[in-house]
Amino acid sequence: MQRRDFLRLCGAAGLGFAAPVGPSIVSGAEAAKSGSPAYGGPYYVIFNAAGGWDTTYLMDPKGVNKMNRLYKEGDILTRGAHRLAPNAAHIKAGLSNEDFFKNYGAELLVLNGLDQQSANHEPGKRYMATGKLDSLVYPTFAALVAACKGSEVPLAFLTFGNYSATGNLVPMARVPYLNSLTILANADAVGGNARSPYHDDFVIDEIERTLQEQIKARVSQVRLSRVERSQSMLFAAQLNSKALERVIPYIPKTSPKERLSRQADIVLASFKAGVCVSANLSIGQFDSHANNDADQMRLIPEFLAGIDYLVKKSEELKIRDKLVIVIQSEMGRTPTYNKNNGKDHWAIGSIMFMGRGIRGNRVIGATDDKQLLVPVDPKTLSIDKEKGIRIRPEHIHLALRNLAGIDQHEFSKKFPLKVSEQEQLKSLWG
Amino acid sequence: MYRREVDGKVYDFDHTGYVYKGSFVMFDKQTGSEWIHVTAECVMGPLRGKSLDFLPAQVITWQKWKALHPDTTVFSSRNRWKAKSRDRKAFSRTSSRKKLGLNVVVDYASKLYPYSKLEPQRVINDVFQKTPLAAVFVPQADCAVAWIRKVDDRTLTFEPASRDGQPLRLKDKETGSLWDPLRGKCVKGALRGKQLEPLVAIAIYVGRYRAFYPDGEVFGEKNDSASKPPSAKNAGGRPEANHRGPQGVVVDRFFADEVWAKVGERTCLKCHHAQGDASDSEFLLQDTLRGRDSLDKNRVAFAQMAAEKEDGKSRLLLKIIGELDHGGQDVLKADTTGYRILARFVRRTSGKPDDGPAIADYHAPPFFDGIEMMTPRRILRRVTLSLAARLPTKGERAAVERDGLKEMDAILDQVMREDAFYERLKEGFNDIFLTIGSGSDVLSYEYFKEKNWPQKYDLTDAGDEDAQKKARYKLFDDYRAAMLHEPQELIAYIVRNDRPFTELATADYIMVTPYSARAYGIYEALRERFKDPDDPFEYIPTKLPALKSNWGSKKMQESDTGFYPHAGLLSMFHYLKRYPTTETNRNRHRARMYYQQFLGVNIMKLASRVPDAVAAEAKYEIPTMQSADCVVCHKTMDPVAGLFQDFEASGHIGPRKDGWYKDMFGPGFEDEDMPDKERWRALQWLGERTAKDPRFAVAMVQHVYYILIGRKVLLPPEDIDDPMFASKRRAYRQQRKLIEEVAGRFASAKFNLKFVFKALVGSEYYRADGLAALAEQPRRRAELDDVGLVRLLTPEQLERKLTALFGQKWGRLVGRGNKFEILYGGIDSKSVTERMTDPSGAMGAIQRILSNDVACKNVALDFSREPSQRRLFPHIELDVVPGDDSAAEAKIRQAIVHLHQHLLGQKQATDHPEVERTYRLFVRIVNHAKSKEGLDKVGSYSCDRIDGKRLDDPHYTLRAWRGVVTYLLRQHDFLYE
Repeated sequence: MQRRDFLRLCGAAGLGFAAPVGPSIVSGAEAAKSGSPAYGGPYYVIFNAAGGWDTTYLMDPKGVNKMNRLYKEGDILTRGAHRLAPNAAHIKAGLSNEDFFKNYGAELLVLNGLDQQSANHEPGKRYMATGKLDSLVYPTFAALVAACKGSEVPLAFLTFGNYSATGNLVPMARVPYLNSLTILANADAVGGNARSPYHDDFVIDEIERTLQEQIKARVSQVRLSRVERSQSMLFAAQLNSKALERVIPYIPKTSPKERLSRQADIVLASFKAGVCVSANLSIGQFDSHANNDADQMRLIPEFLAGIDYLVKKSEELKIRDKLVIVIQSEMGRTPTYNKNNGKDHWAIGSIMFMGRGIRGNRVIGATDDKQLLVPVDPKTLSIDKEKGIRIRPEHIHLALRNLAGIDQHEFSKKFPLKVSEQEQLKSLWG
Repeated sequence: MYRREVDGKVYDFDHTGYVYKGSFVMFDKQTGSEWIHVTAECVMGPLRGKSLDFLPAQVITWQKWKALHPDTTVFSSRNRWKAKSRDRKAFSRTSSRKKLGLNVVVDYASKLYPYSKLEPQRVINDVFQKTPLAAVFVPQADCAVAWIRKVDDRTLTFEPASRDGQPLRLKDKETGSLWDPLRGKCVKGALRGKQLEPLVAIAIYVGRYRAFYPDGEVFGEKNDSASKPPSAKNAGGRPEANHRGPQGVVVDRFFADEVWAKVGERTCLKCHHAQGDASDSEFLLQDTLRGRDSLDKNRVAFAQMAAEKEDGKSRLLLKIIGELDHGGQDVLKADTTGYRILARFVRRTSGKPDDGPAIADYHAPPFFDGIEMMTPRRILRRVTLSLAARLPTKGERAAVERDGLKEMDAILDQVMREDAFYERLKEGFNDIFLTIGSGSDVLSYEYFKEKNWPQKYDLTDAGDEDAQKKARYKLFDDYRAAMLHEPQELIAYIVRNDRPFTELATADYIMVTPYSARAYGIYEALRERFKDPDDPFEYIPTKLPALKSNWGSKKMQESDTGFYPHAGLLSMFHYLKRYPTTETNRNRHRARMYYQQFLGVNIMKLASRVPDAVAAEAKYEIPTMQSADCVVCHKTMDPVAGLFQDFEASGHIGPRKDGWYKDMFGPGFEDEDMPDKERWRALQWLGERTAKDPRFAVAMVQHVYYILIGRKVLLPPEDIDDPMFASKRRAYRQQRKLIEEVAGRFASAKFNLKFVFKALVGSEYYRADGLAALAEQPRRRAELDDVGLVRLLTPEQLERKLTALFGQKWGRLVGRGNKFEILYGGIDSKSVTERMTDPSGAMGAIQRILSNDVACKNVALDFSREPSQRRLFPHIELDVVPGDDSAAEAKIRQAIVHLHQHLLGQKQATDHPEVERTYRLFVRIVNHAKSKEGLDKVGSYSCDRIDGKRLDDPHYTLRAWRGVVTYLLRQHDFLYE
């Protein structure tokens, strides 16, 4: 079957919707037996601290104006270019800021003073995930990059929560348990047991062949766009699912207790098997309206430990150099404590990046002593209170699209981010 | 000259004595409406938006006219003739004449031929609005005329054919015939005696033309379609033009597609309408979905605002960027597309040249034109499977075969009496309200000390200790399930009993079972009302007494009636617990969910962007009440939040000790404050208003649309730079129109929700099935992008379908602890609340497991039954082998036809390509097996055993049929609705 036929089949022409049909289909039944080709990276990981993290207890320390009860300005630590809030003395589990920056400071790019515009969870998550605040249809960066780079792999876009819109470009995949992958990987065997197939091999081959003949025949039929799209996606999903068997060798024998680490195991096995492009990892409960310090001292270390777990395991799997990691939250928290010792929503926040193509040991942007945003010169990325701009998520997302090399992809153009040439952060990645 | 008749009524006209943009203004004596002379449009008064039809006419001296038409009678009025005389003299002067042009109107589109271009050429052969025309300047009459240059389907090309000083004659190149240009008659040659058809054409000052025809073409100018190269013409379509709208109103395409669609509707209309924040403004607009001639009225409002000047600048352009104390501040920046559109509009309406791009010419067909609708038989199968979890009955099939869709309402009436429909209804509404996510532990010990009654329940009759333990587990399970589903049972009760669905917010009762009633402490009082007091799931409506604390204070809930003030779902503990509040959230989350679920309003979407949120916090003492950026949202949300003030985080009564917050807008709804005396029943007060709010009906229709179609209604497109913006907007508006129409009828039907199901099932959106021909036009394709139900079945739906088709459930897609439910895109109503609509590779793997396993469990089983008892293979046995004879082939094909019908709902002939494909699959498997040595002569151990014994399968037909069923269960027609 010719690829152009499949493009038509998928309704890609004209409307530009996803064509999740990979080369494996094009090359016919034989290739189909082994599933889609492996995706070899880069792999994109978005870590979400859902609920709104307190940036002043992590990468944007203050210690002034009674903003932090656990440390004072003089206690602030530095590691390379980074300034960090000390917390090793206050945590019971997880990874301290001190250790996190010690391990990763040299690779870490921090942007403080991000104008997240909204102090509400839902729009904040949407904005941080897509770069577009006032749209409910834009895809998340993770979904977009998956659609652009590998929509033919079975778990192209894995998500574990948080805002996960796909823009109708690529199916999202939820795999809450690692062991479910074992069953899925052997779908043609009773109970997932490869020694007990449902059908003789040649029967399965004939079924696949007939399904291919059927979809080929439908290429020439005139159908509604939705029908074309869904038939294509269904065919691709079933065909590409065969590639899941490649995950099995990378499924760890034991499963960690920590929630982020469990997600990381699924993601890494999928990356390594070449069946996944991007993943949306998330833990919640950061919304510390009461007892801010206790909550943040529990959650930030858990969050950082999850990142640490993923990076270290990626080293073992020899894919660390292919990771692009974004670490974010939908908002920050107020500079002052409320009556319940909590902190409320604050629309100025921070974001961190590390991985392939990103020069670390850098801090861009800032907030002042009232935790208000300080503008940045988009060209030099230095502070410029007079002529600088307020960096917002669309600036970040445009830069991420550039970093991933998908800014000119037809899917990206379908969801444009309107940032003027002068405001683009062209040197963000160093 | 016009026909003075509008909608069959004749009017008398006179002029008002004043001019508008250089054109005198007429009025009709019957209604006083005012009309523009040049365009014949009514711009003010009761007939605003109407137009008069032009009649062909010429501006010519009387002397020359009389010479041409000696029998002419004259309408004369002394005074008016004097005025005309002056005009005539002025017209005759060459200098004045050169300022004129011939305005030719074809199909309500206008094109101007300036005399400065026409006079030297004498004749211009042109094509406008697909009409070949000749514009002619006739020197002997000092006038210009226009003719359709076509005779007997033959298009002619004219050229001047007179010597200097002689009266102008025209010659057609095709036959060489000579024509009189003033009369349009052939006077010599092969076509002698033939008459050309005149076009409406009047003289108009070139300088005034743009003021009245901003979208019109001018011959020889940039926007002249005739002056563009043929390739551009073909690629870009015809030039932009006004066209006549449904009410006969001449629509300004630039205004409709650009100004209104991209700016007015999305930006200005939010405040500038009769009930909006800017309702006291003179610049009032109308929603064009509702008003018959509202688009034209809006155009007039925009045009007036555009024409008003402040320091030489249009007020429209100043207001929109926040100047002149615009209440909405700067809604557009000067460098935005929206502003540029308005600037073009101002230029166009002021008669200045508009060098912007032409509006793409696309004449949309009726929206569902070319869409094939599903046959009644297939709709019937969809309806019964989807809503009643069963196949159609014979009687139903016969009814639709006989009477088509006319029978559908009656069938739906029956379907909506079946229990399965209520399972689907409850499941569908849980997708929206997500109350399952509250969990079953919704009662507080403070008020319900019996909430754990199964713990102490006497189970000695159950047997020994172990048996009692098991019985107690079951008791708890049933009790929890009974409690958990109370909100959904309320919905089912309302619909089943044809009660107004407004009771969703107003019902003064809840639904309880013998088990949940015990927890509420009202079992004994209700005991007699239950048919079976031991049935954990017999739900009846009842009222709770006002709550009384069991703790030290012994406080009572305030209540004038002695009862808990029930307000449907709103006041149920499940709902309140599902959407909890915090000290800092202050019930705003509840208010937000209320607006979204009950009124279809996404508050977060309405006002999600503020220029500098933290600056507002710093600048104002109470930003949510003082900062315009915050107030826009909080003035709506906070009053409703205040109505929930007496319900604490987990959903029970628990007013704040310090009273409700003073730094919030007080309790109320929209612009109405809640009276203090209503506080004890605040949610009832809200429910009453909800029931009267027109948005409630719309929101409920949207919910049913989601349940039936599987996706939410379209949102209006946002990106005005998107080339497909207009198409997406049309698709949205078309769908929105349906939703609003059904909502209106739903309200008239006393809010009976069954009506909505019937209306939507009958709509094109539910029935659209295919295209009669490929939609080549990208805009047309974009319009139809969302058309067609095409829904991936949810795990629950798929499980029910399997049960309906195979007579037994598969059981691996849904149920407690079933890992496939979430993997297959299901929800847990708490952390996973959105269903997946496109299959991932993981879901593709589940589909393969399902098809293998269901075929495994059912094919051998079916063959083991008596033919009359079989669902899958009633007409064939395993000893029918392909290749034996033609009768065998016929039987196999017939068996495949049955399988296609039963599993896929396809009624096909035995030689249909799809049947042929399945037949080939069966044959190939059997033949392959025949050629393969060492294969067992019995079925497989895992799949083909009956009573522990593997069935004989000497010809491999059993396993081949299993392969066929596996193949069919993997298909789109099975897995999608």
